[in-house]
Amino acid sequence: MKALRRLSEVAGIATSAIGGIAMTGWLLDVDVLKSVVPGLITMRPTPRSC
Amino acid sequence: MLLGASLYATASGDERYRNAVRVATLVAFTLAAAVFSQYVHGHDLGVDLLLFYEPPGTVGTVHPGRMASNTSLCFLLVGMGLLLADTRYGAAVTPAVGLVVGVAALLALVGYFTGLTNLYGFAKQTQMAVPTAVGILLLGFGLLACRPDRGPMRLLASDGDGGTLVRRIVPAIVLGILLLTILRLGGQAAGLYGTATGAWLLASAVIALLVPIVWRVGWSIERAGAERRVLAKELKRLSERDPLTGLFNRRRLHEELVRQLAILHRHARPFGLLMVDLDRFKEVNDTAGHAAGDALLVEVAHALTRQLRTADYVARVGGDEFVILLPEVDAGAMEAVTNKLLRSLREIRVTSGDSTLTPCASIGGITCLPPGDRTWTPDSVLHAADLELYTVKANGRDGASHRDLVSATPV
Repeated sequence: MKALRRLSEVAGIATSAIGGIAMTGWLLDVDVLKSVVPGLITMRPTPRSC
Repeated sequence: MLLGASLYATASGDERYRNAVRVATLVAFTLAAAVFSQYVHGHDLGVDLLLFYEPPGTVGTVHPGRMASNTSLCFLLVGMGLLLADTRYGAAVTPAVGLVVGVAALLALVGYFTGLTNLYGFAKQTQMAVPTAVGILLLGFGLLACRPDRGPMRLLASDGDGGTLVRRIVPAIVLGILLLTILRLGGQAAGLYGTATGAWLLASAVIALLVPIVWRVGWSIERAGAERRVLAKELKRLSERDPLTGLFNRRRLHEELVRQLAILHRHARPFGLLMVDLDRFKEVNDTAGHAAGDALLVEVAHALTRQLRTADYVARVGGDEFVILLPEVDAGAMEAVTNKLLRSLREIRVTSGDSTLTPCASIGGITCLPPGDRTWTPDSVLHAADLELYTVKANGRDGASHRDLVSATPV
């Protein structure tokens, strides 16, 4: 039970990290941070903040 | 970012961030709701370019800066799941939302791997990005696992057989079906078979995957049921038997006395009760030791059981005290049984070191005759037999005393 809760916390941190990386990409205008693979769809500014 | 932080704070249960979590979740929820309403109603609320400017014509984008409709719907649901997490509806709604958005994100990722664009966005609309899909997948998992002590998630966290089965079988089914689908599509892409053949091959493979899994579940349930039945039987035996002699204990004797009194009142069938007490048994324990005393008690139990009918009940109710319940006997039969028991007990020989132990016993008996008395209870008839036993003890032991109990006989 504790492990599941811990995994949930890690999932929350990881999601925030993904959003943070994309946010950095938009701030610095680095495409690889916005979409992981250049040429693919970029993360929109609004989902990143969500 | 906001929902990830909210998920972390919700899962950790830290009360300090309670209000901050609610505000962050509400902001994300409102933002997602605003974007989704733009898709539904076709208007522009001006939230798309709220933070950054995005030029028109970006890959996979129809409205600059606007998240995909499926993304906004997923965030809307995640926000709702987080807001409801600690309410009475949260136990069911939050994991359900986690499952729905998790599957949606998984579909989007599968779409990227297989090139099926419809899986990560609707035609002529902005599509879900890979990092967004990964984020939503994580949020879905986090919602499923954030309250493992409530609702359906309790089963997943359970240490019991059900929890073990779910933890093993659900991943096997999910991964198995995903793998089979990838193989089916790969085979079709390689020209090994057509759509119809591929569909039937996939159906057959899913059946071949699920049938053994269901069989395994059934087998586990069957085995657990068999173990439970064995344990219940053993528990019943332990609860009604004396561990040393294997005779019934006081609890079971009490139950049987209740039954026999009911039969006496309803069907006018008499029953007898004998209280057997070994004379000077304490001296046996003191001189020959407790092991020899225990061996003597076991022999006494065997001797008593051998002389009685299958329908009779023999119970050990104290250290060296036994009670025999004889259904449907009259006073004459009681006397004959008593004499037979005394003879049988005198024939017992238990060797202990250089000495041989031979028990002597006093027996007090009563016969409860119809119509009986409604005031009689298991304790009162046992007390009556006990009084007869003390009569024997007072008269020098190694003998028997008996009397009949009839209606209105003081017990």
